[in-house]
Amino acid sequence: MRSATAEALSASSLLPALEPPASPLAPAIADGRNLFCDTRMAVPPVPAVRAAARHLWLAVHLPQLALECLPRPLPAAASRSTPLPQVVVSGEGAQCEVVAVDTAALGLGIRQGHGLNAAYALCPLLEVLPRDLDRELQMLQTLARLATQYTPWVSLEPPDGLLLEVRGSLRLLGGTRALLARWRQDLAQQGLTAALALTPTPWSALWAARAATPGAAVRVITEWGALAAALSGLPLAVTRWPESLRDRLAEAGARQVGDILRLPRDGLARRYGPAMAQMLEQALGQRPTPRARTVLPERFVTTFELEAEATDVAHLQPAVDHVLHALETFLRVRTAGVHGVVLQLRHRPGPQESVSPALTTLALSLVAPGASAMRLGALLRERLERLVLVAPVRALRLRSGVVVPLPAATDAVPGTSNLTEVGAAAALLDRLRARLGAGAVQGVCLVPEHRPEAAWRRAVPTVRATPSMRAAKASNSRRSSGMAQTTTPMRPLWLLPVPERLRVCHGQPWHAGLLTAEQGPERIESGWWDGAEVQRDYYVVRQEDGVRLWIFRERGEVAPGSWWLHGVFG
Amino acid sequence: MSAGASRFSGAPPAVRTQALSTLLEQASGAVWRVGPQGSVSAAFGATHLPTGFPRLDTVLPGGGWPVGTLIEVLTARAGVGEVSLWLPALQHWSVGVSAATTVPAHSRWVAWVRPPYVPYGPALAQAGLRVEQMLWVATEGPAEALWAAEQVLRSGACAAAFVWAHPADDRALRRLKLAAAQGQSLGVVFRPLAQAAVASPASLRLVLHPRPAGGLDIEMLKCQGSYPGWVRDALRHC
Repeated sequence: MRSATAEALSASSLLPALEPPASPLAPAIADGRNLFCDTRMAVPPVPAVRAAARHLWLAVHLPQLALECLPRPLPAAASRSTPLPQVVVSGEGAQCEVVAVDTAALGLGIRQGHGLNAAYALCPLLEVLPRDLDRELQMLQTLARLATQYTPWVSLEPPDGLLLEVRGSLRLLGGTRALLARWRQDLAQQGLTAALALTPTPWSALWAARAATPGAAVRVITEWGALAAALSGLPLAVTRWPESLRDRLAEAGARQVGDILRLPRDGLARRYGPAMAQMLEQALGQRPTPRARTVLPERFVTTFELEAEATDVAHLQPAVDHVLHALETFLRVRTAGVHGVVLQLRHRPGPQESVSPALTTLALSLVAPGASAMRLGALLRERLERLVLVAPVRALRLRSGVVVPLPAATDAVPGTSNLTEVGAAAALLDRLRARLGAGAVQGVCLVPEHRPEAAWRRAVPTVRATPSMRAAKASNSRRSSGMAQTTTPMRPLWLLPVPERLRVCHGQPWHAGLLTAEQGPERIESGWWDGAEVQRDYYVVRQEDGVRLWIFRERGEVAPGSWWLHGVFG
Repeated sequence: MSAGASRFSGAPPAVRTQALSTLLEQASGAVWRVGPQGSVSAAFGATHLPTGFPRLDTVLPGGGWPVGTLIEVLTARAGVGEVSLWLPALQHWSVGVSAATTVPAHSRWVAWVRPPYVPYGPALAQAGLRVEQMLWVATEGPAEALWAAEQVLRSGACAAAFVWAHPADDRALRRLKLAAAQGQSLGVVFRPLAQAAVASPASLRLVLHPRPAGGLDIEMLKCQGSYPGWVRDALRHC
């Protein structure tokens, strides 16, 4: 027995930063052991204790989740009239039961577990919302996503709980106090009421969180010895064991967790089933508690239901900002960005199209991957501003494109950084594309081809810091060689997309007057291999009013001898 | 004033001129100084880009195209050489470093906003420009073009922007001018000759007259920092 205590001590001394394993701890542990000794409890396997001691679990209990995950009124809509007391119910008919109540309903005496009729009896003017389990799970996943900022080990405990293993990241985050403050802020941003607890085992943390009052000081237990004592005072309801089991335990006089801790463990297992005894051992850290890590989806999709139908684009803005902030958080925890997002507006269905509501889809693509809600918001606003709503909007859906890792920003030597310039270029391109469409902004690139119409191509505009030395050299050499090649025939600045046939007067081409040849002919014969063969003689000509044109005389089978305008020198 | 006049009345003329120029230098920025044509020194804060045509450089205040403001080009019809006019300056910029910003100009774009035709890559390359520098913005109407031009000029990501956005009113042009100043870009807007009679906020207004034997006569309708006037056969290299 003594050796077990010593082992427990050494296990706790593995956590020097958290648990000073000094004298105050020893009596507590001795107390706990004495309690167990009295009840002839099985000696816990030592390695298990040691494994559990390396962990510290932060439990999040969300008592109001069923209510808080439902679509919230937008600020504008909320101010219109005084809201009715709200309750969330689950079940049908007579089994309809209240699962969550807001503060107004709470003030009227409505409690969780009341029948709907009882609730109506207390307050006839009641807003009754059906429970949405999918949405609750979604909100939990959102929270799990947020939690990955603090730890890679996040585990869901549906329907209303979440567990974070934070032992590994406490030092990084600046201790329990700083972590809790940040986490509280995150929860508040999501608009959630939460009770927290921090203990060495998952079950004990969950139980303590369920018993805690939201907003009250967080129960932090980092010492093994204090754990049993802390759990003793919790009501048995926090364990969420089946009601029949709890009733039987109550008949035996056990109303608090402490009451069953005092009972002999093997007898407990025999009488009430091994599962419950096992859970108790897990809660005390005498047995490992396997917890699955939540794996997050790598594409961000969220739907936002509007409280009131939006008839004006301006009313959509707060909702759009909300979903973009959610996206930003999603990306921030991954140090990632997206190349684009798709925003869908779901409209009120018209009278004839009752099955599938009309959708408006806005696709936005970025030049460089971005994560900032502000930047995306500005670009989406550009599109939204010019949007004419076909029908009032009921919901928004935001779907991210491919999530790509962002390069970590590093500080450059002052004066040498051209990141801002690249940023300006990318931002400009994004803005132009958002308003004019992706095809409206193009770059140009050259193709080594003799046919004039094939000698260039539209290209994606290049956004980059500085051209490489090689490119600069190449362009210089091209320039110098260009000077040498004085025989290279001139090309016009403007090329007509399709050659325009010229009139012929007295055997001479005619375009707003007679044309005088300045240069030519330049024979271009090429392209027999791809079916777009050209056989042309090109001339640089001059109109009477000084405009210089690039025309050619067709030499092929089709309309030989005809004259065509192909370019303007500008 | 009378005291000052009496103080300098006895001094030799050279001293008087010196005192005046000292005064004017103190007030530089607030006062535009216009000397005899071709010898203007101060250039109201704008930087200048050599045009590549000696005849134009001598006439233009600052010795080149003003950067960071709006230049208006008026032609009777498209294709008289209104775009070729800019190519030597752009070529200079394509290799050099712009004086306006510390960023090498060759990493900035040259934007073509709503050009009447496709800007033809091989011709640009022939003129010594880097084709990958080009940004071609096609818009549906002149209003969109003006918006795009403003964004392009303001962003600072473009060394120059050539804009075809007729019709554009006085307010729109003023916006472009401010945007060009903010982005330190060369802003050039092309408009039909009929607009010559209408006042415009552009710093430099040029009318291009093609010469019968080739080349251009350039009429400066308005030139901040200098006098309006004509440049005969402006493109000749002597």
